[in-house]
Amino acid sequence: MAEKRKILVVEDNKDMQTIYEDMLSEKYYVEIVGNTADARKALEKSAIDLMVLDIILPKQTGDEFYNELAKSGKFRKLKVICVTVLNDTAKRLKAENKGIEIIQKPFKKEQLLAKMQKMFK
Amino acid sequence: MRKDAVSAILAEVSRAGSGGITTMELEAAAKIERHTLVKYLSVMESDGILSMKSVGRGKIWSVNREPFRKISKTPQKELSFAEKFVVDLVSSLPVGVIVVDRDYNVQFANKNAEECFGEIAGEKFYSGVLGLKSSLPLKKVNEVVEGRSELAEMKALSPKNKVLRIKAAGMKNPGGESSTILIIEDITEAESSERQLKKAFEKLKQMDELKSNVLKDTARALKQPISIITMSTDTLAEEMGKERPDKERLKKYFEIFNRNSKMFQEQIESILQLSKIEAGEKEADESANVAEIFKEQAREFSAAAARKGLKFNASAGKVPEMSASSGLLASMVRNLLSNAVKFTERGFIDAKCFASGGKIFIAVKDSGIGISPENSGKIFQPFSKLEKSTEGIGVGLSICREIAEMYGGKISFISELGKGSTFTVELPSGKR
Repeated sequence: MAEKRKILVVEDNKDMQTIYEDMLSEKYYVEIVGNTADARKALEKSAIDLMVLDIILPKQTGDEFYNELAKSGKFRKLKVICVTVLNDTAKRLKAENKGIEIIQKPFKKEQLLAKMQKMFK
Repeated sequence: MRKDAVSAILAEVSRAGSGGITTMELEAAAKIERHTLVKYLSVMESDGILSMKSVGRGKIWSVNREPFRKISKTPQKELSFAEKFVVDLVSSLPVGVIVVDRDYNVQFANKNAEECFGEIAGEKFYSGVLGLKSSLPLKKVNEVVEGRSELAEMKALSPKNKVLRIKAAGMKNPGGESSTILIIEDITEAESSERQLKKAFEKLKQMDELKSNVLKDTARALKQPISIITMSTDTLAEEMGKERPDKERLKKYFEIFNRNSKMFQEQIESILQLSKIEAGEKEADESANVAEIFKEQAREFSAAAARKGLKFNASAGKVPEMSASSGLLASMVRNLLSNAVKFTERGFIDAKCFASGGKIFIAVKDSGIGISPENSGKIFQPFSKLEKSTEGIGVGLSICREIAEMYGGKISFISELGKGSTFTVELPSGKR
C-alpha cells in the first residue's frame, strides 16, 4: 500500500480537534492546528496533501486564509475541504473556487472520508 | 403648412410639459389648436406685429403680453377669446413655465415661475435669473438650452431654499430657431417627507440587517455545540456497538457530550434570561450574600481555569447583605468569571469580592486578550461578539450590566489589548 497521505486540520475547538484526530488518524497522518498562522507554518514546513479548513477561526477566518493562499499562487495542488456550521460562506467560496469541497457540521466520519477519497482519486 | 407648424409647436409643448402639464390641460390646448389657433397665427402675421419666425421664437405662449416682457415693445392688442384662454391656462398652471432662447434670454415666464424666482424678465438665465446656487449641476439644462441635448431633468435649490424640480425640453419653432421650455415644480414639501421616509426606511433596513445578523451569529454559535453533541453521539453509538467497547474512548466522548450539552443549555438560558430582563420581568428579592454567591461560582470556575493551565485566585471578604435575587447575582458573577476564563490563554485570573464605603465590589482581573479601544464601546451591547470564533453568543456582559443596573449598581472595566482586562461591578448594600 502506498504511503499514508498527510492531512492538515485547521480547527480551534478542542473537542472538534479530538473528533478529527479520531476520525482520520487510522487512514492518514494528521496534523491539527488552531489558527491560520500555524496552518501556514505547517504548509510551508511539510508537504500536505489535503487541508480540512474550518471557516470560523480566531483572528483570520478560514475563507480569508483560503483566498490569501489562492492569491499567493503557492500550494496550488493543495486539496481543501471547508467545514462550516452555516454553509453560506463556504458555498460562496466553493462557487468561486471549483477545487474546493465543503462539508457541513455535523457530519459523519464516513462522509468526511468519502469526500477525501473522492478528492484523492 | 401653418397648421402643421402649430401642431409641431403643440407637440413640443406637450412633450416638454409631460409631468408638468396635466392631460386635461393638454387636451384643452389641442382643442384650441384645432379651432382657433390657426386664425390667431394668421392675425398676428397679417398684422405685421410678429413674423411667423418670431411667433415661433416666443412659442405659442408668447401671446401673453403681461408676463412676456421680452417682446413688450410690440404694440398691445386685444386678445381673442382663444388667446386669452391659452394665456390664462398657462398662467394659472400650478407649475412654473419659463421659455429661454439659446442665449439664455428669458422670453416668457408665467406667474408661478415669477413667484418662484421673483422678477426675471429680460435677464440672463444664469446670472440671477433663476438665482440658483451656482454649484448645482445645471450642466444638463445647459446642454438643452444650447441645443446639444433634447431633454433634461434635475433638482435645484432656490435662493429661498426651496427644492425645485426642473424639466427642460428643447423645442424648435417653425422658423427653425431653438428655444427651451422649462417646467419648474416646487417639491420642497414632497422632498422633505420623502427624505424623512427614506431615513426611516434606512433605519428599518439597518435594524432588519442587524436582526438577521444577530440571528445568524446566534444560530452559528448554538449550532457548534449541537454539532459536537451529534457527532460524539455517533461515536458513542459506534463504540457501544462493539463487542468490547473501549472504555477510555467512551469516557472521552461522554465528556465531550456533557461539556457541549452544558454549554448549549447555558447559551439558551442566557438568551432567555436576557429577554426576561429586557422585558422587565423581575425576580423576587431576598436577603442575598454576594460573597457566598461569589465563592460558590469561583469554586466552579477554578476547575475550568486549571484545565487551561491558568493561575486562578479568588478571595472574598465579609460583605453586608443586599436585597436582590441570588439567582441573578450568581448569573452575573458566572458571566464575569466565564469571560475571564474564555478569553485568557495563559497567565492568571484574579477575582475578588469585598466591601468598601458601604458598597459591595466584585472585581475580576485577567491576563487575557484584552479589548481594543475601538471595541470598548460595543462590549455591553447584546449579541456583540467581538471574536466570532469563541464560544458563546455575546450576551454575557449585557446580562451583567442589566443585572447590576437593576439593583442600582454599575459595571465598568479597564483593559489593554493583548495584556488583559479588569471588570468591576459595584453594588449598593442593604435594603432598597
